[in-house]
Amino acid sequence: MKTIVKIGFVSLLAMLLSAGVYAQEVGKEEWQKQMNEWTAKRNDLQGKLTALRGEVENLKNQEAEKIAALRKCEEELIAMTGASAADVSAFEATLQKIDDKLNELSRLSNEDLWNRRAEVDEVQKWITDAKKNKLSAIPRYYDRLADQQKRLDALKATLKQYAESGMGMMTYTVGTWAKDRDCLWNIAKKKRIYDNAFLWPKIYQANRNLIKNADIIEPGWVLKVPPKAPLTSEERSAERAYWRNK
Amino acid sequence: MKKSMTLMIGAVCMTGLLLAGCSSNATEEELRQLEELKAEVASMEKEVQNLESEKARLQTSIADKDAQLKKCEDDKKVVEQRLKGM
Repeated sequence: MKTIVKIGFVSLLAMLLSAGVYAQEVGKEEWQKQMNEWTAKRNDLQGKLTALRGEVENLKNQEAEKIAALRKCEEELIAMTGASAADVSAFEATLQKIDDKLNELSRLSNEDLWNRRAEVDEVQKWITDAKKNKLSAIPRYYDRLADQQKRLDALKATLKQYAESGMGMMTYTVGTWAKDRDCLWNIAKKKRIYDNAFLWPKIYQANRNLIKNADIIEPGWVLKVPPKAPLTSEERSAERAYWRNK
Repeated sequence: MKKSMTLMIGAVCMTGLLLAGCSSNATEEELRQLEELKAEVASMEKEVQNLESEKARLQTSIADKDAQLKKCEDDKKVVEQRLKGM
């Protein structure tokens, strides 16, 4: 009897142990269920992938066609102006040169800009020439040139303001008659002053505190030289007064 | 009484052993098969994701090219007008 009870006890223990092991493993049915689920998932994805691959391929072809059409349109646009590829490169280089110069001038102080105002005029010439090029009719160039002109106009406005404030005036130290032949007429005639003797009243009017008689200027005087421009009404009346008193 | 008791215990033990022995678990090979299937699905999901991104990129690019193309055609008209005035 004891032996039978022992066998029963051992068998029960074995049953419990097997049940424990079973809990950690996947049963055949569960495995089959999972296999079915994942297979269905795979099949679904396969269908999706086939459709997606087709769509992507189709879109890639469409993209290539659009790129080709765009290139063709760009070529036709350039051809309308009669320009060659080399002309386009040269034109773009000019626009870049203008941009670079404008960037350089924009970074200057007002005083430095004043001293380099000839470069502002030079840039204006470049822009004017570029506007005459047929390529400038193309909107991207047209807009770029318009922007450059705007930037240049801002620099010109700065120069004008600087000149009007009197800070932009050059000075000239009067030399001797014997050595330099300095008189208002001759000073105005100098290349680096006005290169125009008839503008002498500008210097006269700007230095009335020093010059009482336009015929008499003293060596060593530092005369203010206003920027080159047509005579103002005040300068013209000063000139008339001079001739009247002559 | 003793005999029937012995028989009952014996029957219970046999049933227990049978149940424990006959419970069918997936084999290692089957489990490996399941894991491979899962990995394949994961890889396909990743590919779907990549293709979806590529599709979106291409759609954006095409829309962008369309807009550029339209602008280019408009530009041609503008250039024609401006060249007449030059």
